[in-house]
Amino acid sequence: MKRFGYLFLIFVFSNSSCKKGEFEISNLNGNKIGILGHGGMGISSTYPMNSVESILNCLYLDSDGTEIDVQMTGDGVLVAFHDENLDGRTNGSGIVHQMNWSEISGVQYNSPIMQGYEVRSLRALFTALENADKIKGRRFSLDCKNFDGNFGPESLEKYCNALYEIIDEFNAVDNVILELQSDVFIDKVRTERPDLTIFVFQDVEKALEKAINDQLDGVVASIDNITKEQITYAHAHNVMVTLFNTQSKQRNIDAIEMNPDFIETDRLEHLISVLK
Amino acid sequence: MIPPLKKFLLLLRIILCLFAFGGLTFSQTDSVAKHSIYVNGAGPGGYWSLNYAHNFQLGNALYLSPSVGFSTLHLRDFTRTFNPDIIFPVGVHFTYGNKHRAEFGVGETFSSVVRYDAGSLGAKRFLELHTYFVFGYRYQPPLGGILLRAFYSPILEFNQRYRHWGGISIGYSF
Repeated sequence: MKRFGYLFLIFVFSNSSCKKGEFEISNLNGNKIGILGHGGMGISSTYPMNSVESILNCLYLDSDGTEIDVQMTGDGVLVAFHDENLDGRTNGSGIVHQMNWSEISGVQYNSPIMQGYEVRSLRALFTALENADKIKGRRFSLDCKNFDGNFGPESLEKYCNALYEIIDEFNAVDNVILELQSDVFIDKVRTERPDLTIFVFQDVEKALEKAINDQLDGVVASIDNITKEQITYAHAHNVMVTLFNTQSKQRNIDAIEMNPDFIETDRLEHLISVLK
Repeated sequence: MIPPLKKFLLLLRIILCLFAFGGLTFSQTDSVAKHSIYVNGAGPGGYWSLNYAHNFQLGNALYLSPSVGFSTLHLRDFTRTFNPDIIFPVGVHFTYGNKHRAEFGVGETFSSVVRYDAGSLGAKRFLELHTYFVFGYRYQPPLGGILLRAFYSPILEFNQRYRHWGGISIGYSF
């Protein structure tokens, strides 16, 4: 009986150790951590990452927004898809940046079985978001990927124009964060569209240096590659921080304790239950 | 739209399943456990399913078990509305052996799944069919008791693409 008593106490304490409002948040996002889904509902969800269903489900759960993986097809269409290659995750085949959108349109994710969720263009995704009720004003952190080794100025121009077109068409200037990796990409967007929010997604030290020197808005880092001190340093220089790679409840808590401005989580419901 | 020939073949398969379910009572013997209830881990219902099978003895060690199952994946759709995905595997399974049996089966999985529809810009329910096959091992004493299965169950998903799949079952016959 005594043993059950101890077990009960352990259960109670383990469940009450991370209740709402327990964290002292001090950041550049109004002292609140923005809760973003990772590609919507995250990597272990029954909805495939970056599918419309995953993104909408994430927003209807009352998150503050979501990260979306973006890449460009050979004919300049932006696609919400994580991998370079369609093989494996979908019933399609081929490298996204070498294909035209007409070859990708209609491709379905392989998982979950017998569900048939489709790979969508970024435009289709934003159209769905625009027409959905009760989810206005959320943040979309666009992880702008580029797997093309021969990515030249012409392709960059095309990529940037495609991004600007969608952001402007959907009046999303204030809602979009661009996660950019290459200096050339960052410099071009910064020069052409200073109204857009740019987060640097590089090696952390380099990213911090770039963000501080160029007065960019923030950096993106894996929870494993950045320290709490580096986040404090970023805040001191007016640079926000987004953390990702929180695939467990404990890693959500670890991320909160590092005091970032945004967390892109794979355990969305847990993070919402802890922070809201 | 499903082409007419495909539609006809699907209908034929459904009728065969129903015929197998209702039309073979003449070959039963009283001693055989007629009912089986089992849970599938993976298998024709997707990730899991709860199934009922009616058992018929066709010969000395030959049995036929038409089965129907139920499964779901999401109870709420992506707008958080209660709107469950519904999955029904229906099939006929032949087994050969007494306690230890070899199994072959074929059937259709009917899925009613809620997805985003770009036409209506919202959630829409899609009804689809998937043909499945079962090749496996089954432990099922003829007079009843525990039922165990391990099987390879490839699925012709959306009746368009072949997917390797399999599963295990645990249940009871009576």
